[in-house]
Amino acid sequence: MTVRQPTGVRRPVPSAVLRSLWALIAVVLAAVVGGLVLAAVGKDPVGAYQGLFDGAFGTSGETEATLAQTTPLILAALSFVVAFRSGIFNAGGQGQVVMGAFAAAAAGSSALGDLPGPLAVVAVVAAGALGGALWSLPPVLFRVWWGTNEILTSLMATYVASLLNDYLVQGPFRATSVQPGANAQTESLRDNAFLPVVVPDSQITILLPLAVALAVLVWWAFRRTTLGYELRLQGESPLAARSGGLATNRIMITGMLASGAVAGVAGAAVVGGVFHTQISPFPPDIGFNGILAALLVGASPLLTPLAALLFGALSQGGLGLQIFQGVSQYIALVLTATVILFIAPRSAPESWDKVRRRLRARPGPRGTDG
Amino acid sequence: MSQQLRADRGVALGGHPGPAPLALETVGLTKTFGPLVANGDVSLRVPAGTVHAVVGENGAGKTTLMRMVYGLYVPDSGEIRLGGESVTFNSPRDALARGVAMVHQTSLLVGSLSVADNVMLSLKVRGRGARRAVVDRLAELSRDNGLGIDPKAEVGSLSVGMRQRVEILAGLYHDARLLILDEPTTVLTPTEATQLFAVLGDLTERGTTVVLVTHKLREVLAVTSNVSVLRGGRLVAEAPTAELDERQLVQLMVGREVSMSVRDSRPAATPARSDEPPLLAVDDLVVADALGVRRVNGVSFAVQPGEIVAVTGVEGNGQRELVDALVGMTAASSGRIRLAGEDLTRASIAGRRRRGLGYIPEARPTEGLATELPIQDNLVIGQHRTRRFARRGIRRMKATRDFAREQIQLFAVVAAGPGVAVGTLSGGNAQKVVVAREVSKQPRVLLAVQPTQGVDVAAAFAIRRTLQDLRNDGMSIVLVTSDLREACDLSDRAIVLYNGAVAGERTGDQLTEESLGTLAMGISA
Repeated sequence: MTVRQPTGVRRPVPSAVLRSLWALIAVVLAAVVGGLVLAAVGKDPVGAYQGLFDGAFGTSGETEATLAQTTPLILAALSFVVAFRSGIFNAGGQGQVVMGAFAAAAAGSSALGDLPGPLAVVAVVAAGALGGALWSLPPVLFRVWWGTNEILTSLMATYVASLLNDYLVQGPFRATSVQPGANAQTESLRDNAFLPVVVPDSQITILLPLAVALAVLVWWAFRRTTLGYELRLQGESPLAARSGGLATNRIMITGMLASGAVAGVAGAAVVGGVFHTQISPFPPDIGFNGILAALLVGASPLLTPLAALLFGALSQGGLGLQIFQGVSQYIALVLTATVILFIAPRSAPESWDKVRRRLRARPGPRGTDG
Repeated sequence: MSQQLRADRGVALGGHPGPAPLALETVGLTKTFGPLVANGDVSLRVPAGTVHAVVGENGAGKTTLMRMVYGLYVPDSGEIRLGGESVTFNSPRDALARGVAMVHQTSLLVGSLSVADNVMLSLKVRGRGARRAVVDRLAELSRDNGLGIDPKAEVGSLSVGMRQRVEILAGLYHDARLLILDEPTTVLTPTEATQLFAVLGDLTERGTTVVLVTHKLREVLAVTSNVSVLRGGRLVAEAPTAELDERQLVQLMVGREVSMSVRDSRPAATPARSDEPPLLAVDDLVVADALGVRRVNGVSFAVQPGEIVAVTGVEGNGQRELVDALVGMTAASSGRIRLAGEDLTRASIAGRRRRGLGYIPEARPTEGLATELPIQDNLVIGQHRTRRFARRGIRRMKATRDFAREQIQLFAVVAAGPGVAVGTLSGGNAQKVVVAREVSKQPRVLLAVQPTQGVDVAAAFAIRRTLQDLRNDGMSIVLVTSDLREACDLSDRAIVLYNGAVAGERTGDQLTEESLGTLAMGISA
């Protein structure tokens, strides 16, 4: 062999640093466009942004509220990342969040909620994980058995989950103590099943640091564990995994169940940390904002907490905007959407490639592996 | 050597009195990517109205050079001249406006649109009238140049070869005077390739100049009039093709003498151990596709220990389906596959691999490798759970890295380290990673599918050598290849597939390209 210099890079893969830089630029651009929108409706953009920021971080109370909002978002985003890195597009995180929340409420309000010490909390979180995982199972089984596109089935399962939750909470599980006319809810969690808070008198629970730790764990596991390696190989090159003799079906199911479980814990975070009961209708956007947050940072596990914080701040800040500036909180939604519009083509071209590939995937002897 | 060839250039372009007019000339083109000098001071001279070859190994800088000529890259320094006039391109659109068109190896056309609509995508005109004009002009150009393209045909319904012609046609529509073809025959059957070269010949007679980027030397010798050789980003020779033979070309490309025929290195006395039972035995194998068509129709063959059996033929005669059934990617409809006497017809992929089946797939970037994962991760696929590379579900990264370093050295993979993504390697080096992985698992039967396709000369040589060494160590190797020469040089025995069945078997003196070619065309001998 003649020794040559390594061939030039064929297709530059943007580094995580570059990707987050792009994400940052997109956020700034979105802010500019949002400012133009504000100016167009006759509001002072600088004041509005000030209001948005104050609403999210102005006082310690607001910062705490933002962080409380961020916790389930981190988990929902991580849920998406786990599946996405394994070659599965789990569009149904929201459904898994809802079912996880319901399961967590059912466990926490039952005798399990009276378990001694931290066991009750563990039971609530575990029930959430179980509920989310169970709800993620049918889409991945359909994919494995018949090559059904999991994007569609998991998304449809979300609607089923919402309606099922409405039925259960308004019907068989409705708390009798609640006044007629009030929003329906289930029996409250037993006191011992409340998630412990890390900041006194706030809704910042133990799950916030745990969710950040989970992000690091996911990052580590994808690199250093055999299971993570298999998931990543499946995600990057399903045919190479298959021809290498890996149990690709089992790997896909594992990836999806892990993803569903994490989404379910996001539901447990809402029930155990905020409502202390399951409500109907359930907040409709946690799972979807999780997907957006994950894609914002190119499905990088380590960056998901930051992306989730941005989304948490926008939604909390939107309230401040309305209260202090008289600007509709929906402007925060406009900003969120604008961020996505700017991020889609720039931040993570390879992620979007995968999205496109999955959307096009059809069952076939070589396309998807049966 | 190269100096001498260059000195001969003056008299080289026989036929033309004095220096021939140049369609394309580059003067001292240089392009660097960070520390990598992709092209250093390249001065290329392409006479008008010729088919001009640009050859070199993978990574020699062919693609970079061509990308500068058609406007995708801007040179760091140097000059591009078209017909003697200095030009600066900032985009392929600029280049097209000056008559430079590129025919890509993998088509960039939109499959769901018609030929004419694809051409219209690059125009700024819309509307039915404009479309009719485009259709008429394309039909005329197709007829005049013998391209045989219906402008209204949907691109997706055309074969790969026809799609290439569509790109040529699109170039002609834009009055291209210089057509660049990047490895056009990699994706073509031998017949399609011959037809393509006939078309190119016609085009040059009408004054178009063709630059053919390739590393298939027989093509160079057969159809080009001049050849430029790149090595390590520099132009090392430029001469009339007639003055060179294959051996000299390889020397120029590789920079030293390479023993051309692998047969040279074959030890005299390694007869296949025919007295031993075959390691792989395929009996009356039938593989039907989803529509029930028998893609493999009753194929039987056996491979002894220490034997290379080539499975060859024109692509699409059941090779891929046979391979899929042998590996377990698809199920056989009937028949039997035995490995060392054990029936594996119904075994899983993992089961077959556990019992000693190695597999070098044809589709390197999708089936062979995960291009975005590092070399070390690609090298342990299938072995990642063994005690050597993992304990209690935790990967042993140091062992993995050390193993990768060892394999990189053993197979002379040119890479910065075990942590680089495989997708950044050249075709030859990426293939060496696949070969290293499969060989390191010490299979009993190795199934190698087009192992040297899209691989540079030196790497191809190394891979062939590896296969022979393994054979000499007693492995059974099935070499699936559509390169008849490779089949002859490398195998002890060759079977030819035609229409899903074995058209014949050749061994010993009868193992010649001619006899295999006859069988491959379905002509019974």
